This record gives sequence, C-alpha cells and structure tokens, in this order.
Amino acid sequence: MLTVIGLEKRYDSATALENVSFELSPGELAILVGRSGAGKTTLLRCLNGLERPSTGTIRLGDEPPEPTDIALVFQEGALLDSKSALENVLDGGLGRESVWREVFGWHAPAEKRAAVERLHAVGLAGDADRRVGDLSGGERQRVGIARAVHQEPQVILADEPVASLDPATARNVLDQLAALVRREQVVGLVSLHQPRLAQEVADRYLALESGRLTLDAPAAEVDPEQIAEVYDG
Amino acid sequence: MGESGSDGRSESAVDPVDRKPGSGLRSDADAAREEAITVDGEFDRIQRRWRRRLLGRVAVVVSLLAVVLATARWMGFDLAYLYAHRDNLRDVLVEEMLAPAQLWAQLQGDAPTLVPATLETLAIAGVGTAIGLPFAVCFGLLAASNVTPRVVHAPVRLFLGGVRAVPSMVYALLFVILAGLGPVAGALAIAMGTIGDLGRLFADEMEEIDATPVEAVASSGGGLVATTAAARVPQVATAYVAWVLFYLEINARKSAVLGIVGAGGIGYPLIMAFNARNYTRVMAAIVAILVLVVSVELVANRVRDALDADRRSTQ
Repeated sequence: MLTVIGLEKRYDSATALENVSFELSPGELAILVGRSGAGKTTLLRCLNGLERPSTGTIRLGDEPPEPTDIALVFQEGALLDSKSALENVLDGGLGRESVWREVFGWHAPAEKRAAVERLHAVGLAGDADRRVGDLSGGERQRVGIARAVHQEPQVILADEPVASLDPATARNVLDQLAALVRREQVVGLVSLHQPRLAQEVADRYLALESGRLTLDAPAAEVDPEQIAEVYDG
Repeated sequence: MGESGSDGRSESAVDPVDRKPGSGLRSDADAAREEAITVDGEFDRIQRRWRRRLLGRVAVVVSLLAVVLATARWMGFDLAYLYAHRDNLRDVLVEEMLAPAQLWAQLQGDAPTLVPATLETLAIAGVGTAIGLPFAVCFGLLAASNVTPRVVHAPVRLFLGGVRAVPSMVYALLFVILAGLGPVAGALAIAMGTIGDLGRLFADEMEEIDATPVEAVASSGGGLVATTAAARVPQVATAYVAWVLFYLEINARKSAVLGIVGAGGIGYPLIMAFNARNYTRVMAAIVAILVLVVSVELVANRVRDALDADRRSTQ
C-alpha cells in the first residue's frame, strides 16, 4: 500500500503541489490525468525521490520508502543509446549489485539471466544484444519498462510513457505496464494525456488540477465525461 | 530495422504477456521466431558472447602493456639508473632551485628582464590567438561534414591535419627566417598552431550539433550561409568561446618556450639560465611562467563565468 498524506511542493513563489493525499493498493494501476503544468511530473518525481517534497509524508506499508522500492519509467525512455538493451535493463539492478560490477561491466550471471527474462516478458525476445539507439520508439519504451521491473520495486511510476508513440504502439506499451502491475502485484501510477487510452487500462483515476487532487476514484465509478472535463477545463 | 517493421513485431510481441486474442498484425514468421528464442537460449548465447568479449579485452590490455614495456626498454628506460642518479636532481632542486632566500633575491635581481619578457610572452599568446582565430573559424566551418560537401570538407580536414603535424617550435624557427628574431615570429607560430588545433576542434564540435533545427531553417528557404548563421552557429557558440579561452591558456604556456629558438618571450632568459647552469635563475623564470599561466587561467575562468551568468539571465 502506497500512502501519500498532505504532500506539498513549492518552488520559490509558485506552488506545484498542494495538500495531495491518496492511497494506492498493490496490483492496481492508477492513471494520473491532468493538463500540462498541473503537477503530474512533480508528483511522480516527489514520489520517486528525485525531488524533495516541501512537506508531507510518503509511506510504503508502514515505512518510508527506500530509493530502490520505487521505479520510474521516463517519458522518452531515458535510456543510454550506446548500450545494448540488456545493459540498459541491468542498470535497473544498480541498487543491488556492487559498484565494481557496473564499473567493469561484469554482471552476475543471475542478474543477466533475470534481465533477459525481463526483456522476454515485455516482448523483446532475441533483442538483448541490440543497441538501444537502433530500436523503435515502442521497443525503447519497453526496454525502459524492463529496466524499471529489473529494479524489483514495489511501486512503478511512469511519466507519460506513451507521449511520443503512435496509438497502436502506445496501447501495446500500456498493456505491458498494466500486465506487469497485475502480475508482479506492485503499485502502478501512470500519467497520461490520452483519456481514451486510459479507459482501457485504468483501475483507478487520480486527477490533478493546478497542483490539487480533484479526483480520486475507482475507474468503475468514473464517468468518461469527468476525465474529458479535466482536459477541457 | 525500419520503423514499420519493428512496430509490427512489437505488436505481435505483446501476445505472450497479456494473452490478448486477435492481434491481426502478427505474422507466422514473427511468431515462429519469437517462440524459437527461449530465455535460457538467449542467456547462454549472451554469456558466450560476453565471455568472448571479456577474453578479447583482457588480451588487448595485456598486449598493450607488453608493447609499452618493450618500447620503454628499447628507449633505454632504466629505473635502476634513475634511482642511482637521484641525488643529482635532488641537489639541484633543494640547493639551488627551491632555496627560498636565494630564489627571492634572484627574482628581485632579475625582475627588470623577467617582467618585460613575461609581458612579451603574454603579447605573443594574445596576438597569436587573435590572428589564428578567424582562420580557425573559417577552416573549422569548412571542415565540418554537416556544413560543406565532401569535396570541400575532406581536403580542408587534410590541410588542417597537415598544419597540426608541424610543432610550434618548428613554425617558430621558420618564421624567424621571415620576421627575424623576436616576438613577431613567435606570434605567427602561435597563430599557426591555433589554426590547426582550433580549426579541428571547431569542426568536430560542429559535427555534433542537432540536425533538426538546421532542417527547420533550411525548409523555410534559407541557403547554406543563412542556415549556418541561423541554426548551426548558435548551437556551437558557447562551446567555441570555451575552446578559445582554453586555447588562450594553452598558447600562454606554448609562448613561454618559443624564446628557446629566438622567437621572443620568457623562453630566452630561461634557456640562457639553463645553458649557464644557473638553476636559481632557471627557477626564477619558471616562477614568472607560473604566474603568467595561472593569471591567464584565472582571467579566462572569470570571463567564462561572466558569459555563463549573462546567458542565463537572458534566457
């Protein structure tokens, strides 16, 4: 269970997040909607620990989360183009493996096997050796997901993971994310700009407007009109 | 693999995971390929490949080490000899070069020659960089493969390589024939070095730029010069300024030794002191060089910081 209580983030004079509180359960994929500048990225970065919230509490179960507990899938993958798909996925395990293994590129066989498995799980069988720079947008994003899974987190966050993909590929990437959240029984929180895509995978909706949480409800109880309104204002 | 091909495959690849029926994009060949690759099979293949690669790397490192050791031996590198003669260097260092009172007296006595010589060195570096810079910019742009066609950039690159192949000392000797003994020959030598080195660095930097904004400007109808001014130069301007300042530092250091061949600056008193085996005087000249180089570096850093601050405030 991921619990967020009274989260606030202020930059100098601007307030990016204001008193945001919610709870998410394992195996549940929550879709975070909101217009550009509503605070979605800030919320995800605060949860991930890339930014420090000004006030508020984040708990995983009863404890504050460790850095390795929460994985973030970035907008365009944020992968290293010159490395192979496998090496990028192995980077997800940096929190576990000793530093010298990364320095010399000498990963433990068990780690490598696990990383190959993660690639197979996102449908990239046989692509472990390929340079990430040579992959298509959809494939890259799935390498990003595999890297997040390889972190063995309890929470997977994704910041507009399909923003630059065509509808069919976007659907495919989201399906992968949804499948893995359910299979691994982790908490999933994904920000999206496409309400129709969201409807196909969402278990729960969170909506942000100007840094405030204006909707927090199971997908079954949410009228699609409500989501459309978030974007239309 | 093309965009459409890979996306077709990625569509088919979803099936094993979420068991969604009816993925019409899946071809039989793709399906067969997917099923043929097992996790164990791929892992074994990668393990074998990584082991081969590791062996290859170890072999390269070992042979490089062997080559270096063999070459050092061939040169006559002999640690025992160096160790046996360690006292020679120690005596010179401790008794003549690094004796504070002696050095201070020498500095005061030599100030009338050292100060003008240091200023002359600075002038050689500054004027030489200034003369070389416009040529470096022109040749740098011409040598970039994303600015000019191959018939232009290939020969210009070759020319820059040739210019770079000649050491500054040799240029200085040549320009002494043209300009006579003195700092003019030094400044010309520094200019040549600047053209060769900075031209190459400018070209390399230019080749790293993002092509998209260039295409955007070109699609609005701009020619080569217009697109270069509007979309290429703005992408490299900051880096170019940083390189120029860095080169000013390097040139200050280079100018300090050109006097050895009569091309002006502090190198002349330095070599005279060496020839006279007056190591305290040598050290005094080294101190002057140190002050010069560090001052240039400090000023260059200040300029860089000021430019950074300026850029940030206008953004």
